Amino acid sequence: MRIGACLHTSTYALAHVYQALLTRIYLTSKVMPLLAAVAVTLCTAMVLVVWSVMGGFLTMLLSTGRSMVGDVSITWPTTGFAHYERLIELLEQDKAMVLAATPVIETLAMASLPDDRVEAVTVRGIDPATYSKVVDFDQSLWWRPVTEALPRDKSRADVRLDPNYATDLDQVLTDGRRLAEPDRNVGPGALVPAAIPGIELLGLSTRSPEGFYSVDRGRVKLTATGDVRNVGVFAPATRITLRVVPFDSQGREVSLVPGVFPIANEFRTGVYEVDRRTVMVPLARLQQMLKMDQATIVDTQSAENDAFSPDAPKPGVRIAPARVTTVLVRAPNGISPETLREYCEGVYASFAAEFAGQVPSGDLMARNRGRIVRTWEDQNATLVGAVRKETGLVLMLLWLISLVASFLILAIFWAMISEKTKDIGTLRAIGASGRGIAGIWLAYGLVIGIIGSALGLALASVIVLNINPIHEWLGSALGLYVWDPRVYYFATIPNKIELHRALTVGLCGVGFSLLGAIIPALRAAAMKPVAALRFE
Amino acid sequence: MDLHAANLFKTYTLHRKRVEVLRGVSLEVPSGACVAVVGKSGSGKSTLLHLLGGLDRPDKANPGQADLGPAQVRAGETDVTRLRGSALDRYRAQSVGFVFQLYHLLPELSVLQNVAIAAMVRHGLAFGAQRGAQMAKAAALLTSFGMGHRLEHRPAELSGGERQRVALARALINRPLLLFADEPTGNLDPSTGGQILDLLDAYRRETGATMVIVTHSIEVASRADRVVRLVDGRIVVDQTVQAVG
Ligand SMILES: Nc1ncnc2c1ncn2[C@@H]1O[C@H](COP(=O)(O)OP(=O)(O)OP(=O)(O)O)[C@@H](O)[C@H]1O
Ligand SMILES: [Mg+2]
Repeated sequence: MRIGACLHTSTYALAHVYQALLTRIYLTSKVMPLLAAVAVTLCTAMVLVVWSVMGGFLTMLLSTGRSMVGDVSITWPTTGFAHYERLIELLEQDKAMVLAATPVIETLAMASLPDDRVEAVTVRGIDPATYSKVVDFDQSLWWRPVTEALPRDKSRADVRLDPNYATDLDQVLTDGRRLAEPDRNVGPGALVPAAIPGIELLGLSTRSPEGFYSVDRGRVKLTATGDVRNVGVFAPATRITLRVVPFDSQGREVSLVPGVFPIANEFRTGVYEVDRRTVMVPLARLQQMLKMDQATIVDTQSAENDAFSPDAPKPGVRIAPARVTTVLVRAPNGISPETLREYCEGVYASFAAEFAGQVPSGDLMARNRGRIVRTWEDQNATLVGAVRKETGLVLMLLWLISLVASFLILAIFWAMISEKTKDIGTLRAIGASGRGIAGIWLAYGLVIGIIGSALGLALASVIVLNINPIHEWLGSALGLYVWDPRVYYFATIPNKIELHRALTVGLCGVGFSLLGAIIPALRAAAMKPVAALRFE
Repeated sequence: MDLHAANLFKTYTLHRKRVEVLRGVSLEVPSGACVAVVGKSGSGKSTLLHLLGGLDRPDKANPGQADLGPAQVRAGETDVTRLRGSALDRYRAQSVGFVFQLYHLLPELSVLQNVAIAAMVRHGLAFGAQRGAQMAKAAALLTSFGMGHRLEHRPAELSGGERQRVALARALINRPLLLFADEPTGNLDPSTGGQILDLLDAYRRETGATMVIVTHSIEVASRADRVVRLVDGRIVVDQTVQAVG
């Protein structure tokens, strides 16, 4: 009724009164066109949901880059490169281009986990102080005291909310930030390097449907009655052993080196693969383990050529500077990763010139274009490209399906106009123009499109904003899990509706409705008054 | 407004068979006169009325009748046969009132809306007060036709005579100077039919409108100034009522 009333007043300014009157009356007296509106609703909702989820997935994928590698990474894998402090210094000279840069070692390791599993993981040696300037490291540390419950944790069951453990969690957070724990064996003030595994790796905690983690084997507490109780707070009592394979600067394997780390905290980036297979350790410790720290070298194989420059002078005794595999760079807001990559390539070229023969040369980098200096998107080009293509393809298919709604409107309108032939003839006989008749049906299509699209956008919003609970409900009620985090990287389904997407879909919904109405409207306009009057 | 028709031909081709409905009809109706058109069923009375009312066009070429001159319908100063598009729409909306053989009311609209819509079509854009005036005018006209208690009813809820009164009100609301009525009393009993004719007479006296009424009934024909008989697509008798009687 209210829609009718709105139409009643608002269309006066746009159309002839009799058109408004008829459009309104046909709207309120016919069921068929409302079915057409439902079709529009379903189509727009479907398109917007899929677009939001897939587009959101792409956005998440790209924005995760920031939390993982900053904007650009400069990498020479496995053997790494020396003089990285100088490279960072050069990079940070232009404050407008580079906010911060940090040295990192990334390597593979076999991890012996607390439950005796041995798994291949990526180990990242980081320098916490500079690392957190480049990536959202601090934010990713999971165990910390919090006061705000997660949006869906209505009962505030997240143990991190419990004020009783605030002090413990504070300690855990501090340890996480510095990747070190107090060394109780040595005494007060002493620290021991610690590891921070991704939260899905250890298998000690499980993610609840509300999004928080509960610890299966947590801290044990004596209750007032003397019972032992598991209180489910992260207890860094476990240890992890990492075995890495060091190479010397010429790529020769040295030997398998184990390192035992206490666990200071856990991190969560939301990228399942990362949270499942990455361990952070202090850079200095990893350099030691990989023999990438500064060392005095007595070169006995003077005939051996330097890997990077065959003409380099052959030293006898030299200092081998510390190496890292990667320097991560972050740009200030407003600089695109691509611009930053270009800048970094330039800086790297002059850096390589400065240390000719000691670091991978600019030439080498040029030949491996895109392999040393890469954005997150470069690193995941296949995946990102595939997601882009797939999103485009699915959207195209959905638009095709939406054309079906257009045809539905066409068919319904065609039938209605056939049924109304006599009335159209009558209207023409009392002086209505063909254009005026067409206008009635176009306005009708427009209104159906607007109502249908508006409902569709509303429906899509409800679905997308609640997509994770809906997905869990489907899973628990019907055993239907569509979103597997191992396949889609992220533990949760993207649940944001972008305004521009909603507007595009809404406008297209209205457009498709009008499209469906055009042909029947033209047919109505072309009806000869007499033929229409004689119609039985 | 006087009405002038000359050399009207209308031929339909159905399944390759030519059906010659009108074969050279000419008719003069002086301003303010009332002409009754009689003839057998299928003789082309409705067809003639449609041509006069601008709902249809006469054939352009009249085969074998080149000497007769072009087909023409003229209403006052307006050459209706030459009107196209919106000018023709305007002629229908402003000059002509049409009462159809089968009422042709819009089933979804109320009685009041059925009448008011003709005014809306004629006046196009209308705002607040103007629109209210149209509604009031329609209501007043319906009331004067004895339909004041049925304004909100749908046509399906009315009797035949009531429907014809609504159709008549719709034809008259714009106060046209030409009125075409296609068997306005055909489906009504004599006394109800008489009421409709009284309304038509009153309207003609009041406005001096020109009327063409198609009918089978002697009663109706006897009220007209003149009666024309259509036989085989031609007017064979054109006489005053006295002569018919
Ligand atoms: N669109 C058309 N196509 C073919 N023939 C038509 C068409 N319209 C009318 N006719 C024919 O024209 C003839 C005259 O029709 P019209 O309706 O004018 O008759 P009428 O005199 O009004 O008859 P009635 O008294 O029964 O209403 C009929 O034989 C009809 O079959
Ligand atoms: Mg007839």
